[in-house]
Amino acid sequence: MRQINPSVKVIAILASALIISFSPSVFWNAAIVVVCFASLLISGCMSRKVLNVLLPATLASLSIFMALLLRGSSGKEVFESSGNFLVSASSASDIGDAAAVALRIYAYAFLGMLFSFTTDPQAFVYSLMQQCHLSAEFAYGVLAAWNLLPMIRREYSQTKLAIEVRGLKLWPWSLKPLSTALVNSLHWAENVAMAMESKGFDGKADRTYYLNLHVRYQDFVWAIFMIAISMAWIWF
Amino acid sequence: MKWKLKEILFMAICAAVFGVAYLGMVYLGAALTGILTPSGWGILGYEPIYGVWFMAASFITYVIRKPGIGIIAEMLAALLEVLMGNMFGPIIFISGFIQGVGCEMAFFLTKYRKYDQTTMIFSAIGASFLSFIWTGIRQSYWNMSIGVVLFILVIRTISAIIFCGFGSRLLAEGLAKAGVLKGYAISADSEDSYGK
Repeated sequence: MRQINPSVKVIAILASALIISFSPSVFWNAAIVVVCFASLLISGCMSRKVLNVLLPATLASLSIFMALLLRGSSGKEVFESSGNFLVSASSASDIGDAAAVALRIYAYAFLGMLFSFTTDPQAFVYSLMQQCHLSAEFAYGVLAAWNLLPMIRREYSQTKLAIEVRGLKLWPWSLKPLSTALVNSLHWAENVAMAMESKGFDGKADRTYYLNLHVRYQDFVWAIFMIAISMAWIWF
Repeated sequence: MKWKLKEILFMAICAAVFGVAYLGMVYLGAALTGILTPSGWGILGYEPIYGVWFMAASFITYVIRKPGIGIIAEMLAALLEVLMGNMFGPIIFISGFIQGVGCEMAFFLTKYRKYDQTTMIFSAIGASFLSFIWTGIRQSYWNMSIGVVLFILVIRTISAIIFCGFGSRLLAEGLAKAGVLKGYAISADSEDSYGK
């Protein structure tokens, strides 16, 4: 998995995620989860990180499952009932639909993990430049922001702390820390832009890369395989 | 369209800051989802903070004021999210594109001349409606009762109007007043209006 070209990988995963958005099949959504799980196992990416993603994914898919079951379009009488009676009141087709959509959320999460756990961010941006002709200005701009992320995180939490130290109440949805954190971050943006320009950075010039990525035929085989599984529900 | 390096870095770093801020609020949504799930209303959990998703695009559009910037800003934000390891992975490129188009529509209809409160609100509504259609496909809203679906749309639109329509604009005006946004379109425009 790690050897596959990042651009091909992102396009294949994007395509399969888009296709399964329309899939009503429990079986094929589960098949995608299984395939992604196996690929992650083979690439040795099973760690606590997987749990960190699966926890919110489980919550999201459970909430949608319950919403479809209890607030489905065909279940008027369900509103009145309670307890175990709820499940028996919903028809079997409702449960099937709800399970398909809930599994779809899992499939998205696994497709997402399949990409993010097996791809080096730096290599991904390089590949976007070399294979998808993303302009160098955007690519290095994003890389600069990505590398500044730890500082931005610290800035944001320090701002929140500073507000709390002054004894002011801070609601989780307050925009006050955001504006303070933006002030400093925007200074960085300006400084980084100035630094890049003074180093002679130019988006137009031909560049050489220390990391050269190519598309090989294995990449296409894998991409076709992934897209074929996600399209299988149309025929079977 | 010619982009200055400064503007690109502005977009990327804004997207990063908004991404970090969003993560701070996600816990709120997760807690709400957890509480509401047994009753079947859990799907509403993230809706009150949904507007924060569109904030990067509307804030950046309001500051830089160029055609197409909403879409590019959202795509950059999506790329950053993917790099940060977002739960949904590359599919948020599509979400980002759709939300960017939603934000952009209001400005496109005014031919990129008006950047005022009304346009900002309509831009927020556009983003909310388009993203609603997209999540509707992904989560099969047609299988839910019409009341729940309308509830989702209403809460999301209110959240978008509060965070993007008013929040982004206040944020941008505040930062412009603090002098951080010198050299971007927003401060050039407001200097004109003060007759400097």
